[in-house]
Amino acid sequence: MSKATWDIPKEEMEAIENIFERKTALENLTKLPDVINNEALYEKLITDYGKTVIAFQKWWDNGAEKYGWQGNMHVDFEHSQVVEE
Amino acid sequence: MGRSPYKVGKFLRSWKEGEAQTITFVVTEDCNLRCKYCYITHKASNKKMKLEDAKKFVDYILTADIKRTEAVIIDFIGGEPFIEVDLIDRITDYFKIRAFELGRDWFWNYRINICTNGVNYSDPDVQAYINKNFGKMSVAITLDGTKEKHDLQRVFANGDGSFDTIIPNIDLWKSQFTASTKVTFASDDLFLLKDSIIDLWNRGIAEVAANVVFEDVWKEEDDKLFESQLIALADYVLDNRLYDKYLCTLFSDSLGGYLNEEQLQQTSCGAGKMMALGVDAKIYPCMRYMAYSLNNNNGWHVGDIENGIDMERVRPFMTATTKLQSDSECINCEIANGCNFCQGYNYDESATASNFYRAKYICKMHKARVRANEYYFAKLFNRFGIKRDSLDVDRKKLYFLLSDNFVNYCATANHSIGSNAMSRQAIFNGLQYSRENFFDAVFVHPKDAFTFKEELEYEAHLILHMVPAKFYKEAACLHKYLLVFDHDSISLPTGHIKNCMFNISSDRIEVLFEDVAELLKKADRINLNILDINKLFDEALYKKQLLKIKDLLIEWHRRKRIIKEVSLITDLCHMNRPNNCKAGDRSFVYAPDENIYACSGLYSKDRSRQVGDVKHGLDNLLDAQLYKRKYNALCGVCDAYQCLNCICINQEFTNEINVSPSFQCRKSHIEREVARLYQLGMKSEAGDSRITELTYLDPIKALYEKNNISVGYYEY
Repeated sequence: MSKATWDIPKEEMEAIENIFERKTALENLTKLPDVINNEALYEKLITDYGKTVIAFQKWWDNGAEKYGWQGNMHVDFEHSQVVEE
Repeated sequence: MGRSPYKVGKFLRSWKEGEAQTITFVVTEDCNLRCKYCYITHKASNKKMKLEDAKKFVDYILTADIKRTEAVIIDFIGGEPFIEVDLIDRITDYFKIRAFELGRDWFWNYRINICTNGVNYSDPDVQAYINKNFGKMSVAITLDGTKEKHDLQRVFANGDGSFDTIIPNIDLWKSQFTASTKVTFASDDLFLLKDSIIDLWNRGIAEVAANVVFEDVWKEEDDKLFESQLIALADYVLDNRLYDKYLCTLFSDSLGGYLNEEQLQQTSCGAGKMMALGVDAKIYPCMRYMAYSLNNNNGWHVGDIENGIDMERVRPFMTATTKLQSDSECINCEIANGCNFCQGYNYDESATASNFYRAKYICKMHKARVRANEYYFAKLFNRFGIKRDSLDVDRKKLYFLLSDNFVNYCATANHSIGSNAMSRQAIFNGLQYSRENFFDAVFVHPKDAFTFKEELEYEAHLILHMVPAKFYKEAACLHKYLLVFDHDSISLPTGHIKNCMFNISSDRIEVLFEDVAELLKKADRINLNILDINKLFDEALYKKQLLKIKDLLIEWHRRKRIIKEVSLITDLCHMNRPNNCKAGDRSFVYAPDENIYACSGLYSKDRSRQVGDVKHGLDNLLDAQLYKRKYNALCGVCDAYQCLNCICINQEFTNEINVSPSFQCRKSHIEREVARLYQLGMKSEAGDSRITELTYLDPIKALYEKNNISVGYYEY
């Protein structure tokens, strides 16, 4: 059986792509001792990461409501689609 | 974004669609290979970037008063970048932390790009770096194809090939990244092109960017070998239906055709828009301007880490355009589209060390590539019905008159009563000439019979057939055709038609509206062709008929929200450049007598006026410049771009092919005025090219005013 797909408008796609890029960048920053050991920098990172994760979840919640997604999905950035897993 | 039905012929997608700023760190001028085709001709084992210099550069790009794009690509290059992986790691960390500290969006909106030869890809330090930056980087390993091809060029300093060293790392790399590689071909390895690309695909490297070198290395017959290899590759792709599975940039749907003015105002690459830090702590417009890849001229830097960028030295790159960097042969080339060049290499080749210069060693190779590209896309369409996604580029056309009794398709009617037909062999000869000389083939069918038979050999050519509408049933077997209607055929039960041509004689204008209205019931678009206009053309009646058609088109849209097109009214709303017939310049006619003429009208009237033939080319095209639009003074001051400016009518009534008679100009300005009213009636739905109101119908008035002519007796 073929998997369900949803074409996502450009603006929505750019939004999740940027959130995803930011989330990955912040996660990679946590791998750096110079960040972990710098209290101010680490605090800044944790705050930013918290906001980013909330934005990430909100995008999926809005999408679920708008498109009726259920179950596990992933984003196909190349074809601007959300694909059922 | 929809999926294209083919991948072979598409380009690799670039991160952020090429809008990101590229910052290059040349971390070393050393390499563990000595590839024979490498443009870095002065490698040096003792030249390595200092970490402190790199940090200063990072501080500069993050804090200086310069324009920063939303996203950035951090590019590490060498020599071989991974022999300095520890340095790369430190620079990357410093960049990420500093960007984050400073609150720059680049702290997250970045990509790390590394192109490696793959020799030490599996080293623990390299792998640790990849894991640390996973999700934010892309790595390409350069694998050239088969072992024979790879080892012919990509060798260690002792001359041994590097293939067996790299292959064990390929599976690891494929498990970490989208497998994409870049292959370079030079003279010695061209014969292995097809096998090499296929070998890469079979290894699971689905995306292959490939090119031939720009340098002066090409021998006689290399172009033929290149073309035959590409054609063999195309056949392999088509015979095995792989066109939607793999990607190879040697084929491209945007290749060929003339450059338009907008394209001429751009240049081939991003030199001067990107920044490259050299090991000498100087900032370069691109690494190809560094001394290690130059052989004739000095390195060209635009700044250094102590003083920043000297914007005066950047200005040549901001003002460089293809038009200013090319000579007239390249600017006017019929296949200039997609002929890329390296500005750094051109600078090095320039006798005066100028950036406004273009080396042309690649010319014959580009031509070979375009021919093979046309072959591939023709077969893709003819065999599988897959249309090429094409840019709106101007291409040369060769009209094959399959019979002397050919159907009318331009402003001068065919009054021939002859029935000479083009022989099968003549068709083949014409198609071969078209391919070799970059013409799109258009077959113009006879008025009175449909005798054409498809042949296997035609599959390699993309042919547009112009067929009288009464043969609409027979035309259905053709791959690509345009039905040509006249008054007698508009009622035929052809079914829905997207695009067609309608011919009407200038002395039958009183039924124009009636006929067009009938045809519009089944056609979305009509290319309207008024035949044989002359001094007696009834301009008032013509305008009246066009106005009624205009009202009908607006009414269709108002009632049914459907936009229908009648070329002479609706096209101008979308045009910002002329669309003259281009006869004798970019369009020619190939007649049953196997000679070439400037246009079918001139052929019909005087068969002694051939401009060449398929054996010798256009060797009798005298005063060729007169066929070009810029040699038509009236067109130079006119924006009635839908006007065909028929050279045959020009010749007949003014004695010159480049001077239009007044009635032809007035006819076009009547159409222009109706187009303006149509645009007003359609409001925002009719194109973005605003048509202004004029007080004259004959542009000679504008020419008089422009040139301040006040003498002579000519009354307009």
